[in-house]
Amino acid sequence: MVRTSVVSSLCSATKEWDENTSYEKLCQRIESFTGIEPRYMKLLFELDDGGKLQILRSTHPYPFKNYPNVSTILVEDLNENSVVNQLQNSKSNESKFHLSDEQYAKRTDSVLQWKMRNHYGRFNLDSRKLQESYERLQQERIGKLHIGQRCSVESEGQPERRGWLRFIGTIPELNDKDIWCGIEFDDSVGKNDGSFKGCTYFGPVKPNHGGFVRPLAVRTGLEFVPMVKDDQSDDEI
Amino acid sequence: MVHKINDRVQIGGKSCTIRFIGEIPRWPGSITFGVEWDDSKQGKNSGVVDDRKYFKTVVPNAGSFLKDTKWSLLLDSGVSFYDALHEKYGKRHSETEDIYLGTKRVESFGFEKLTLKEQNLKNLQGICLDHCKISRLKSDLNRAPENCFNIFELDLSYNLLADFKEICEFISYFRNLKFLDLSGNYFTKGWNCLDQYSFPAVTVLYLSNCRLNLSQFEQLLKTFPSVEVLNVSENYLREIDDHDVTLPISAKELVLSGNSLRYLPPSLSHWNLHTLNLSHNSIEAVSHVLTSALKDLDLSHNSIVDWKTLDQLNVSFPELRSLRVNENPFFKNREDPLAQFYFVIARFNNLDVLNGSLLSSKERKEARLFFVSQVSQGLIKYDKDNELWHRLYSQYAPKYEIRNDRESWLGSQILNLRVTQEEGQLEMNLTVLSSYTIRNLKRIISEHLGINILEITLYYFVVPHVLEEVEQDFVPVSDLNITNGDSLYIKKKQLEY
Amino acid sequence: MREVISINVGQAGCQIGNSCWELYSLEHGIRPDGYLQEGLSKPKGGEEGFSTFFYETGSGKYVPRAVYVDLEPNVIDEVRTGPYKDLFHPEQLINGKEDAANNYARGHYTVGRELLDDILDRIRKISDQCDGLQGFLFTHSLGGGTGSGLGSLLLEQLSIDYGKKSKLEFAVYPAPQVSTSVVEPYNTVLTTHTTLEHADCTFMVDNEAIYDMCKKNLDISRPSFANLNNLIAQVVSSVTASLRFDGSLNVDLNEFQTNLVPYPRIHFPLVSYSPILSRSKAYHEANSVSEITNACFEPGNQMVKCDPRTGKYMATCLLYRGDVVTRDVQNAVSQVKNKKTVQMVDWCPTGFKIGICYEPPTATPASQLSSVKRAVCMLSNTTAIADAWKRIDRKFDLMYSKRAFVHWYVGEGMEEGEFTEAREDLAALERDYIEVGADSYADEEF
Repeated sequence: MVRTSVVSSLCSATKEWDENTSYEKLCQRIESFTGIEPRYMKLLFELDDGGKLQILRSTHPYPFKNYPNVSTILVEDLNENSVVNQLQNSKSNESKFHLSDEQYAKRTDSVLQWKMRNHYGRFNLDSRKLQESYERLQQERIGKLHIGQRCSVESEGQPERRGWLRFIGTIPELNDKDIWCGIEFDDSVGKNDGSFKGCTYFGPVKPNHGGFVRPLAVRTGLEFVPMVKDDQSDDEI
Repeated sequence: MVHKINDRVQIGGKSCTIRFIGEIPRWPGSITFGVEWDDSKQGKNSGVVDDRKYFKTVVPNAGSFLKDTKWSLLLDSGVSFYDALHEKYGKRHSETEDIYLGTKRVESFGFEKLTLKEQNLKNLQGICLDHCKISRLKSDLNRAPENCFNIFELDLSYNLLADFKEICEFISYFRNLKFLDLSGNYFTKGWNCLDQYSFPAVTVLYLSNCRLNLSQFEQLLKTFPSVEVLNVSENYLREIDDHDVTLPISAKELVLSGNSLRYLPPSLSHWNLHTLNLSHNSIEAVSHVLTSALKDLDLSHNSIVDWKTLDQLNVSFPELRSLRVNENPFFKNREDPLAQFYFVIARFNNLDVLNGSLLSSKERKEARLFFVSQVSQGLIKYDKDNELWHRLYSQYAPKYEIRNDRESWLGSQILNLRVTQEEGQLEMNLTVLSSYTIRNLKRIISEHLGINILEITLYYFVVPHVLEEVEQDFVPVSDLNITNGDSLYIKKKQLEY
Repeated sequence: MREVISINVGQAGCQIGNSCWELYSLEHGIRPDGYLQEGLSKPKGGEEGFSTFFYETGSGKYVPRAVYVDLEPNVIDEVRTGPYKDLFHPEQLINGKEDAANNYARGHYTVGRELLDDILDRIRKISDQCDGLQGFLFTHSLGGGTGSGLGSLLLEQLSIDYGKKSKLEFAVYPAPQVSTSVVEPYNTVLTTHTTLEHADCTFMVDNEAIYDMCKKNLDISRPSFANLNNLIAQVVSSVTASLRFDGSLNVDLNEFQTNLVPYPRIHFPLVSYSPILSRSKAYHEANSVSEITNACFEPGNQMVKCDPRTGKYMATCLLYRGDVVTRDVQNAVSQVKNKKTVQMVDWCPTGFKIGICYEPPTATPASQLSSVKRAVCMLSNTTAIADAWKRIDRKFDLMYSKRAFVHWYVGEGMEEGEFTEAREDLAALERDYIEVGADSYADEEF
């Protein structure tokens, strides 16, 4: 057995060959993963001593008998119009398969159908009503918030955090309906620097000093001065 | 509790050693603590305040002075071994608070069973109490710890233990102890009169980051005479590089990384180690040692500048199978990482693993061939007067005997090229074989630049100032009209998904 | 008894199988020849757990409940002559003479089908030795001819022969940048379409992600395939640890589906593993419960390249191994909650679960991994993994629009309609992921 790498413009693989493999058989197998047609195939053997030569059917009917020390087989496609050469030059956004909404809706095993059958997500009337009223509350709160003011953030399971209200608006990367508040925290208690998925909404501020929360978690007012930290005393030198 | 100098405590959750107790002029009437933090970044000075020196920190700038109003609130002098043991293994955790992610409650499975199982300490085979601020073993010494005969693994790393004799007394009860981890404790006392203690059952011992000095290390070797695996990384054992140290004959594996060593330990020849980790030291050169026992050597992250050092290593450790030398200056001098990798492989008798890569025999062969060709051509410095070279040369050079002058033929295979990136932002020199494919050349360049191979477009000069793109990927470099010393030019293109 | 039969198909499947069985043997105290290591009176892991993966012969030898299948002989010959040759019974190693030539259709319809009866027969013999077979664990590649074609054929057949027994897969996803054959996108789309209704849970592994981990975490400047397979085995081992040892979550094969798959089509959880530490690095580095937990939410510890911060989680299982107690885990999860963006799909019937297996992981010397006291494997069903499908679908479209190489498949008797059918199914899968992420009631902070 001879183990070689086979390298073409589109792929590179490691293969094992019987020493009695004929030139035709070799080309056939190489076609099966490089996609290059044997009649346009130019084979170059790279030998393990650094030598290199072209292999031809006429002179090398059983290539591995002559060159058991081949380490790499380089395969070139001499047909300029071949599929392989076309693929190499084409752009990926041509001819994208498109599944229309109607087609998707017709499929019986889809997640959409499952959600509809089980009244999940937006197909659950109760939760939709609940959410709508909740969103109304969020809207009402927005009316009381002022960008640029001091604020306090109180969300469930977290101690109170304070900072500046820097942003109010939607975050299209998430969805285009929910309103979010962007906060610059006084301390490193946030999750980002004011940007989300590469888009900066405010700042950028220091890492982990920024965060986005829903309006109901925020109150603005002059009374929310920075909280005193425990270790700000001068009892340590 | 009364505190003394050298006590190990936590203040505000950070471990430190008390180095001074008393009054300082700045805070009259107050008992001030001078401490040295384990994490030196916490420190504010080296034991000097208002131009007076009260103590000297081991690590510069790792010290602080604390007023009683501060330390009295935050001081934690640690817990006993038993408290820690019951806190971790003996407690029920049924009333832990639920955590929610959105509307989803986080559900845990099996921890109740684990708790029940471990509550019965008889079932424990290993005790793992790292980072538990244990400062006392003594109060429990009146009686033997329950079922300690079953315990074969004891991890007390990163606690506040300071008295080594206390440790010895304590582990005397654990007759079947095989694995002991005491890393991250600073043993400031109890190093005298240890002759009565000997723990021949312990075979694996970890004492990493313990501020050990050489005499303490030698004491350890007497106390643990049958140790097989010994980890003493991140200590103060620099002197081991010019002192004779006797290691137990049982010792097979030694980790000495992060000890500021400048040379290989001279006693290495007498040791019976098969694995030695010397990474993260300051080793520049190799002293003359010889051992055929050593199979696995880690010298990564050191200061080796000279390739000759590698040849010395091959002489010193003829049976070496696994080697790490990554992150050394000699490695960075050259620009082609594959060539460097090959040169290291070829300079050793028989490596199976280099820098963690598992090597195939084909890779070893290619490496040697490339190496032989480069040395023959005089492109790299190599002292040919050694056995390995004669072997390599007789094995790999005869392949070219049909040529009249094999050395010059080998030479013609080598191209030194200069590669320039757009607007001359970056330049590098490459040495390649003319039989390399363009693809291989691109791969070398891409590895050097840390960019994707598909992003590279390569150009060469057909005539001065006229660039032509190299379009074929799989022709040899020799097919292009370039010769030794020529320049290539690359552009980076944007990849599309 | 609740036995699991492992089926390794194709070159990649068999080679990963080798690394896995080497590690399993080490973890349970079995020598390469199938006998117990010196000083052990019984295998490690307890009778119940151990016997899910091994059976004992009359002579006190232990044999893996596994078959190796490949259409060509080379890789399996390496098993027959390798260091673990005595671990397997010759009947467990099955190969044909002619390979699948990277062609799904050859693996599925022509060459592969000829070998099918033989393989099913051997599997039947192994299943006859089981008291309560739970199901099957496949390892194969999605891009190769044998792995994709024969792999999916076997999955289909096992559905017929063994009804609803669980079928889990570890599948090697074609690396985004370097392909080993031009038709990888076809094979991947075709096999995914065929197995979508037969596999209960598929864990994908992308060699490029593994390669990066070897470089970054294990400090290996030039990782080899052996390096990659050893790391994959470590991950497979931690996913199966709860089956093989006394674990608490996913102790049965069907629990993986219950805990991770809200809807049968959405069965591709993302696997993350931590710590991946080099033997040469400091012993105590990044090894506390909260450190390893946090690392699982970092892209650098994922087996497939995608960005979970841009997706939503339907389900998450954190599987701890080794020395871990409740309090530490609770703290770690609160920290993740406060520092990371973890958005759960609130209407989904699956949730966030934590389990423990008391046995710490073992590291084979060749793996270059340092041995650690604790580790965690995170299985999370996140919509972010749809990125992997998008990538492969685009490549498929590019080729199919030119009808490139379609004749190879048709030549093996496959109907061209299967291409469009498969592609439409995958397009629907992309839409399914969008639909899962839609209208979740987001009240998290990020």
